[in-house]
Amino acid sequence: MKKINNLIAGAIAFVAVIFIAMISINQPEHPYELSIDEALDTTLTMTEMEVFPEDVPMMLEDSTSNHVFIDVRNPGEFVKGHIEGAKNIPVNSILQESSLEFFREKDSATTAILYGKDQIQANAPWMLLTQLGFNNIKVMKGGYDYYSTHSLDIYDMPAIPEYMIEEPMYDYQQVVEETPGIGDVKVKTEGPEKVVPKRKKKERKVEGGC
Amino acid sequence: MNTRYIILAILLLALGAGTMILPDKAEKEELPAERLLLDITSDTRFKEPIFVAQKIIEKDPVYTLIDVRTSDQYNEFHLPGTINIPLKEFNNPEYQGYLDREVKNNIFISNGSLKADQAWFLCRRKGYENNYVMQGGLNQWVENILRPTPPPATASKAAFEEYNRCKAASLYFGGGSMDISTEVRKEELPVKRKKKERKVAGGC
Repeated sequence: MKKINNLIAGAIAFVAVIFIAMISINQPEHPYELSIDEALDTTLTMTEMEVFPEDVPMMLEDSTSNHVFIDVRNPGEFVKGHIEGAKNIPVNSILQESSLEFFREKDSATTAILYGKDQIQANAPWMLLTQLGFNNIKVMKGGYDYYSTHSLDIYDMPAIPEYMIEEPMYDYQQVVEETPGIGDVKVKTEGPEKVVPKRKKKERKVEGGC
Repeated sequence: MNTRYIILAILLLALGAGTMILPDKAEKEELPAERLLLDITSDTRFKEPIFVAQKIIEKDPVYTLIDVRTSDQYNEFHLPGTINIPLKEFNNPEYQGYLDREVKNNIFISNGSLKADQAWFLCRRKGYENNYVMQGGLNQWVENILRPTPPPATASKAAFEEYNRCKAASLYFGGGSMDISTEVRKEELPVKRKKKERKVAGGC
């Protein structure tokens, strides 16, 4: 009887260890809060989460608006210049406990606005944080490069500002047609044909002269 | 002895039943956030337009070009040899075979590189590898390939070589207005006329 008890105890312990191991292996450290379908939906409707650079000066002056700018560039670039009052969280340290704590601790009324040197740099961190379940995180169009070079004429912009990177800047089909290429063979054959009759006319003239 | 075997058998059965209760493993496991972050911080996912242009010219079968814009935009204009999978269809099970290539590579193309980058992100989270993004999208394609700007005279030799490669690619992708070559022929014609006029003068 005692032997059987030992066997049962050992086996139960074995099963328990395997269960715990399997469950903990499947559990990632930072689980995604949004499913992949929800992630696609938030990506497709991301225009709601975009901040335009020309709105930034007003946001900075308005003391009642609740926001904090997050600079995701590296500390060297941050030191050289950044948006007033911005907090530096470089992309590679965005999942560090101190950074995550910041996003967790900030009250839900405060909007965190991510910006990098361009929107592309801030886009992936924005997607990651949003999909990990952090709310009220926005991303700035244009990024710091646009903001700093247009600091004086930030309101004075063309119909399609250059930070609208997904807008077609050209009529692609027209540009292709304007570009000289090897596509059209007809023009080539027309060229020599024109040359031949002209030669004949001149030969006749010579004959007539003599 | 018999009871011991029975108990062992029951335990094994319990263990087997237990594995059924365990959470279902997805067909492909999602990439952990920390691993995804590592890929975000490296720029290796971006491919220059000239790289894409060379793959089109060589008709490289290893690279598939995927236009992630809407089908309207795709029908209006697209690069030769691209297929269209709009971003909103990226979770459609029908297309997963195209997006998750084991050996082959995909390059995502949009007007800028934002949509293509988002497409890349979603695929990477799903654990798909071998996907890339065309840097700057079609807007940069126009600037780099179709309308390359010559480097300043003081630029390095490599910059000029790069310019010449882009210029050659622009000839390949150009729509065929042969402005340059017809101009050359027109210039040749007056030269021939002058020669013949001299002959006439000599004859008389």
